[in-house]
Amino acid sequence: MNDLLRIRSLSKHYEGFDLKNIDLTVPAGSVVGLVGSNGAGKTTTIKSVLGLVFPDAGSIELSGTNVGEHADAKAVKRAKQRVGVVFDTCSFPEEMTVEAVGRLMSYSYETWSDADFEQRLAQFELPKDRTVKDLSRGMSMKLSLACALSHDPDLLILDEATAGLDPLARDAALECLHGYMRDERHGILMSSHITSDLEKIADYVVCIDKGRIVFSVEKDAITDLAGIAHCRAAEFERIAASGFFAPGELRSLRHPYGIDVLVPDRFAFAENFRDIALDKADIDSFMGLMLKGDVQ
Amino acid sequence: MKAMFMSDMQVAKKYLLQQIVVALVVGLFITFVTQSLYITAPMLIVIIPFSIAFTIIAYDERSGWQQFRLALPISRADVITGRYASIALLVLVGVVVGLAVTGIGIAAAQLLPSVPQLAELMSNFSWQAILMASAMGLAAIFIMLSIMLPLVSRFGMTKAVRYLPLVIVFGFVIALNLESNLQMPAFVLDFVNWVKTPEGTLAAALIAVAVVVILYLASASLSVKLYAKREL
Repeated sequence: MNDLLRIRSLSKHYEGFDLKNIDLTVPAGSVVGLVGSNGAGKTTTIKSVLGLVFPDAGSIELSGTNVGEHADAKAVKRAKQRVGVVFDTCSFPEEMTVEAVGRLMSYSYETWSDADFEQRLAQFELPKDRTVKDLSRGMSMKLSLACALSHDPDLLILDEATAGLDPLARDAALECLHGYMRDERHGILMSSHITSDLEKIADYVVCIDKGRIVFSVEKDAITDLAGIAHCRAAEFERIAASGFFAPGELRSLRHPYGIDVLVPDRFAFAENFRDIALDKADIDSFMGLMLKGDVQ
Repeated sequence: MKAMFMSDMQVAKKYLLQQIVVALVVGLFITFVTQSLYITAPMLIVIIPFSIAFTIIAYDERSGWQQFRLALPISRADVITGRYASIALLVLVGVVVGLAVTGIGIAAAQLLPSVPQLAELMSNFSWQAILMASAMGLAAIFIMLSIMLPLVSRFGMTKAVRYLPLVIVFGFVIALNLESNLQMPAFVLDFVNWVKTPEGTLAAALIAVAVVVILYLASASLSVKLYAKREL
């Protein structure tokens, strides 16, 4: 499978923060969700890919082209021609009209399609004469998406793009992304705090915490296979003593009413512990136990 | 570079029109009040590009525009060369508007000689003085931009404006010191007398412009190097 983005052993040191040995791949035809708390290293990773900061070590390739250390500036420009980017804010100069923003993008991208842009503006009901500063948060995001998509990029990089949107606007954005992903040559790297969005669209979920990757799994392994067992102390002791979990793989989180246990395969668990309450996992609960759970 | 140039022009366009209208009104007013044709052109040559340049640079740091711009297929060198090119065009606009206002002053003086303030404009008229004053205005703006833009490229506008007064004060103190210690040698006096001749004025204006253009290009080259290392 063709990798649209491949990051290997990416490291970056800041005062008080280290991004360490990040490995991340976005294969064509897939959506990779990047999750983690604030300051975990998601944006630093994305900034490294886009050349906004300079990594201390590691390699970054966009569709096989080196865009990391010692990259040729012309090759980086060519590689970026195939990428669309949406940040958490609408980044265009605020006095520009929607129409002027389109013109600006047409100067930047060789494959820019005015017709495609116009069609997206009509679809999103964006008035061409409205200035960026007069757009609502939802409209700003739609403009950013229209700009990111109107040159038919292979890879879309979204950094908290759906943050601050109401549910309807988020659904509209996700619908647009679903449409984009109908072409199997396309791929998305999407960092988000809103894990419910990732549950709707992601194929893989990568979690970063304190500059390190905590887990990198297929989304279905979380939402279809994993579970959260809710037990009392005695039940937890029984689970721990059963040998069902290999040493170092039992993750649990104590709370006032009992203990939650992360179960990688809830069907196998249910076979073995029929009397213990078990729920499907979601990305939030899975991440919570992976980040904060006690390991034994 | 074209994308960066056009992006700056998109931002500048709206303010440039306003600035030109204000420059025309203020320029004509100053020409009329001071009864001099030699102040307006250099003043507008400095003011128009400087104010618009600050406006477009200020937009870089709003809403993450400078970060987003680098995420586009625009190289860091393109950002700097495009920025220098767009500001050079603004300087050219300043020259055209400055000379146009001066021309309007001359035309008004010819058409309405009965107005005392206008009649005074043409007494001791010297095209050499207009040319030299304009060249000095051009030199001043290019020197200011050549100092300011590398600072902005390295630190961004917010930080650069903190350092800029230091640079200006430092330069001013050195200039004062040089002037107070300087005895005009004979060849300098000869040079000044040569500049007063028509050929001398033309040559000196061309040399001054050539020197500051070279300085501006050197500044661009320095800015490319500084911006290449800047993390955003």
